[in-house]
Amino acid sequence: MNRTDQKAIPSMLWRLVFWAVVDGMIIVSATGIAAFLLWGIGAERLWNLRSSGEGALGWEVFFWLAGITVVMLSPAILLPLAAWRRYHRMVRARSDGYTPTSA
Amino acid sequence: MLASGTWLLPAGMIVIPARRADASPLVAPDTGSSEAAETATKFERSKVGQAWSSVTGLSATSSLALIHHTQGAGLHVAEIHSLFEAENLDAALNQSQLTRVVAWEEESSVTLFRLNAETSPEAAVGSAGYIDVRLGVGTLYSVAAATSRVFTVLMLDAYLPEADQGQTQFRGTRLVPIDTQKSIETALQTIDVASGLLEEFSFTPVESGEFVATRSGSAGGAGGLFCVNNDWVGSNGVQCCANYAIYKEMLAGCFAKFLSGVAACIGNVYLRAGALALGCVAGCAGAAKFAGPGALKVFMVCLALCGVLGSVGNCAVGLLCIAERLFDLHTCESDAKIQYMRALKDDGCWPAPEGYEP
Repeated sequence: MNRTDQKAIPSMLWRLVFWAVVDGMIIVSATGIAAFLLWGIGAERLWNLRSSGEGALGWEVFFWLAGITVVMLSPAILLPLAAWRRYHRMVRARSDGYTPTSA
Repeated sequence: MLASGTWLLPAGMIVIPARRADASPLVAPDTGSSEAAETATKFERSKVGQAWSSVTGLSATSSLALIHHTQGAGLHVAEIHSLFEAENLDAALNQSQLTRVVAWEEESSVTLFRLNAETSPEAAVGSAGYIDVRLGVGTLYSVAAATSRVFTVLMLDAYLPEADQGQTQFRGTRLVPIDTQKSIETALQTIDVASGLLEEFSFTPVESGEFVATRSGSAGGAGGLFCVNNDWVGSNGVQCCANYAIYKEMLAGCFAKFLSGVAACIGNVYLRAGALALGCVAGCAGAAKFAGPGALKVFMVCLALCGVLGSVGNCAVGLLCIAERLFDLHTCESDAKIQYMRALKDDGCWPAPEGYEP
């Protein structure tokens, strides 16, 4: 590892940390809004079904909760994916000769 | 709504709930029959009547339309008389097919809504007709035992003009006991249900103590909350479908509580997710600082592990929270069902006809 790399790594680490925080806030906020929209739409439909006395609610509730669970779990996939993408872009840029110190 | 102090109000009026009120009350302002006068006299001399007079300062004259009897209710007339003459009111009430002698103060009632041709065209017979639905709080008063029980009633004041003659078809207060409350706590629960209705129907106060519905609700038929279904009446004249309506309202309350509980669970998941994301990034960055040349890979692997495992755990906690809400929903609905079945049995409404089963 040359001298430039040794200087570049801490800088890249902090850039990754910065973008991980930004991406995390965006992903958590977006999926949170999606989850509450899903809750609202499902809650209204279930309420109407319950009020009109139509049929059993078993499967409706199941699919509703399953959908919300998928949305709630999505940050677990999206956050590492976003960080991984940032990391590879930085590595690729470094291999192309770009480093934060040379920029 | 009704303040808790309402429960301490003295008895103000006495009414015998009727199976089906008609235009010939026992004590009526315009009948002038000897039977009506005789009943009024008996009422005045009875212990119930004396208690009522002492509280209200009024005398039960034929000018007060206090008691309505049912269509073809010779049996009920006899029972009313026996009640008036009974030394032990509690025992007489237990033996009687009449449901309750009800005492309540007019001020302790609140008009829940008024249905007329404008607010609910399907519920009103004509433009001049309307139905007032009031919730009253009262006591079952026993002179002999010197005790009283708190309970709530629904009063339907129907002013329905006859289509062809333009005269009042039925005018008077009709009592529909919701439930005989054995404690103030259970009575207050019923009041809470009624309070929820006020919010649901978006009532607009028109004057102190009175509300008018701004959107239509169902009153007539068997499906409304304050329903009249003469095909399903308890042995004591209670409108059984009122119990069903309360049951449905309790179920709706259970479900609303469930929905809000799920929302809280979801909200908590995302609060934890935010904290988890920040914690993972900060923790992994700290760990990577000591990793030397492999810092970036350490950070990425740490972030992925922390993010995935933490989120899965977070979701698991959220799902457990939702499962608890589902369990609460089941418990709440079971309690409502039990309460409904008890009310049906107490009011002599069991078994429930098709469509009204618990």
